[in-house]
Amino acid sequence: MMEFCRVDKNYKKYQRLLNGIFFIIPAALCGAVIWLSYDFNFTLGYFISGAVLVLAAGLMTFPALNYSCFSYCINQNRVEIKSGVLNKNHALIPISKIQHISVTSGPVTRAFSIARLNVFTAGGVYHLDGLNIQKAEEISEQLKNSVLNKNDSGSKAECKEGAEK
Amino acid sequence: MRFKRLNKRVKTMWALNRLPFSAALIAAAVAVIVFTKSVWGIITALLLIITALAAAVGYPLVEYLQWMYYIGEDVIEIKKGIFFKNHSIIPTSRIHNVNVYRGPMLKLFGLSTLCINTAGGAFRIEGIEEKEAEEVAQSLKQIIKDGGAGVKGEMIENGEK
Repeated sequence: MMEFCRVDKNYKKYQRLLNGIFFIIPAALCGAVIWLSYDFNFTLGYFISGAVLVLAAGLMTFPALNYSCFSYCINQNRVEIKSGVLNKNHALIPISKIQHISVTSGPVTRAFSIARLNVFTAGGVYHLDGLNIQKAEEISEQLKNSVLNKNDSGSKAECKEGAEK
Repeated sequence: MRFKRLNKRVKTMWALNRLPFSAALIAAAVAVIVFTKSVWGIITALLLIITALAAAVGYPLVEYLQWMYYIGEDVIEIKKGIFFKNHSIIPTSRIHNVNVYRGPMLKLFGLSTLCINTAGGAFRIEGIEEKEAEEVAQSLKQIIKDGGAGVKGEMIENGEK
């Protein structure tokens, strides 16, 4: 009855890009600098490139793991977000407790046509990352309607993505 | 389209608000040119003037273009941002309190600032027409009279359980 959906597949690519820019390229540059400052010591060179490769492999596979561990489910009564690879987290937000909703997207996320859905409760903010932009707008519209208690049995509509996987 | 832009007068107001700052910058630029009389002095002065113009002319235009809002019966929506876009949806039933603020500047232009507070956060719509802001306040009063749409909604849900 209740189906958990995955987010957009582009989210994996986006996370890989971020990892590449912020971890792998700096690590490779640091490695290169260290190697060069030791006059092309080849043992050191192998060690450094090995370490960088291991790091790169890890950071390139992690988004996929993260993706497969991240799912959400929205129905008339609640929003559920499951996340975490090692440390599992299952957030449950009753719709009657939602204060407001916002959809945000940046220049890079828009290039991947993904957006973030923020669900604000009196207790805090819950982020639903990596939704397709259109999907995010749809869901926010639907959440708005459920908050206003005028919803037309939405629970089936938003699980289209679940069928795709 | 249901989304509205702010009142056009707000652009002039923002420009006027930033005028003292810009004037100070331009005065500084003139002082730099007079006292230094070198190439670097002129470059500094140019940068100061560009900043002044950006504050007085650029900011109001950009701020005006990036703002859109919608005030409906049961929902208030705000869209903003150029690079980082944000679309907030606030159900009226979740609004805790509303302030209609009017400073001297806003009064001069017949505008007001609508401050909306929910349990989750605060929103400001700066420079909407007085009439519109008052309408929002009125409609909220009506909701309170009706017993609060939010309260009703929750009671229905409790009943379902």
